[in-house]
Amino acid sequence: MYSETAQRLIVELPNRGKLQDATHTARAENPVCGDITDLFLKVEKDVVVACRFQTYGCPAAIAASAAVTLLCGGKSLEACRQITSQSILDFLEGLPRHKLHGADLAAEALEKALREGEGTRSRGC
Amino acid sequence: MPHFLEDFGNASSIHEYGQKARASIEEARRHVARLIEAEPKEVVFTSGGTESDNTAIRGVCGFHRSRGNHIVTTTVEHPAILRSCEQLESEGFRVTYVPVDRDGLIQMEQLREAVDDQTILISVMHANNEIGTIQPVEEISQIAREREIVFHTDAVQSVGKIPLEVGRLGVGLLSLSGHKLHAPKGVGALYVRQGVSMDALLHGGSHERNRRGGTENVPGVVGLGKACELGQLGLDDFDLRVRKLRDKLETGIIEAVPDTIVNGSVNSRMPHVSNISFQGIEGEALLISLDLQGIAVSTGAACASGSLEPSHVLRAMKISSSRVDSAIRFSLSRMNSDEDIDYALKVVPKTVERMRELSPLYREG
Repeated sequence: MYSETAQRLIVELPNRGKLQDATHTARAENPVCGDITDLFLKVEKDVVVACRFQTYGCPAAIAASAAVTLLCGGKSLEACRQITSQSILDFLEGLPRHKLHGADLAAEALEKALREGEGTRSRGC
Repeated sequence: MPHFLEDFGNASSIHEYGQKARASIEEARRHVARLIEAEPKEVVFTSGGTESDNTAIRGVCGFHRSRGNHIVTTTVEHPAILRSCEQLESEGFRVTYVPVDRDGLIQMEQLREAVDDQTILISVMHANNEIGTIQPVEEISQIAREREIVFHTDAVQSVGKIPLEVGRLGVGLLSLSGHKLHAPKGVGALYVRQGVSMDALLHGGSHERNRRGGTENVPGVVGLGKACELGQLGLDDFDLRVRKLRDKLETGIIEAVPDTIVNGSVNSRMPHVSNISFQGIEGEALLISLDLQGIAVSTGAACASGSLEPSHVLRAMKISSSRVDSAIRFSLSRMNSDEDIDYALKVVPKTVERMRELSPLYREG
């Protein structure tokens, strides 16, 4: 079962869709189940001022990716780098046991997006 | 609930309590038999569809082993059939899994070619549990009769929903399950045509004319009998009213939501099932989202939904993997109302639209 927080995210899908003026973007894929998450960040003065996502995949991947956008919004890049699979699971009050990989996918997308921003400008998805 | 409290006797007992239970079981047997136009003595009570299927497959193969070792079935059967066949393969039997076309209909020519001198059993489901496609069972029974092969059909999805006569179908064995027609879970039956020889699956006492050992589940059996009685009374209503509701739902969704496609034969289909693919969305995500809004749908077979495996039925139809992954199944019953459909038509299009905004794989047009 999904927690009430996860259920709300699955139905409401906050921050869904592309961010046209993103400065950092990345895609994470799970080759086993085929889930895909695209993460879009707009960073100004080392602060994430906007964050959106697109996910194709199971409800856990969707809830976890939505959670990342909520966790990142308004945070400094340094604070975002501290966000892990466990932080996402904590925010979601857990995920079904066989769905924990959803949090890994979202964490990977964030980690890649932040890393991409460290080098050249975003190349898009 | 008298059979849990007052009439709790064991139907094999000679005392009055037992005989009351026996009378209730035999009355239930008559109702089940009447629904499928069989003789009461041809009905064997089981614990459900899975046991009925296992009994049919293993019972026939065990008894007729000296005649041959070949089974013909299809790629879209319920796991109760497929896993039983796989087990028999490990015990030395040969199994031919006949493919289906893109509508989920069995390829008859290939079935004819699959039958050989060693074939002792053909098992083809009447209606599919995921897409509702109805197989040409009468045509298959003709082949089985000509070759003197026992023919079993899993009719779990169709009994009580559409008129069904075992004589007209020409089957030797037929499985049915209680909870598919509003009886309690944990009870079912196997029709065994008079003259069909087979082993028992469960060995024990002489219950069910030596065809199924074990004390009868009296409350479950009584529930199945009542459900069959009510099911027969409501057969015409089911076909007219539920079909109308299903068509309203399906048409409404297709008109309101672009890039949708109905899976399975539209012409040869059960009146209560609609299996639809929504391009660009993962079926399980849509399922959970609808569930949280009070609409219960399925992806693949309900029994298999705990796994990540995509539907073996849709894959067998050789449709694209994106169509397989984005499919969900709406199953209606006589309990559904026009208001239920109106609610679904309000919620489903909006949910799909929202989830497509989310999908990196969906491109409209």
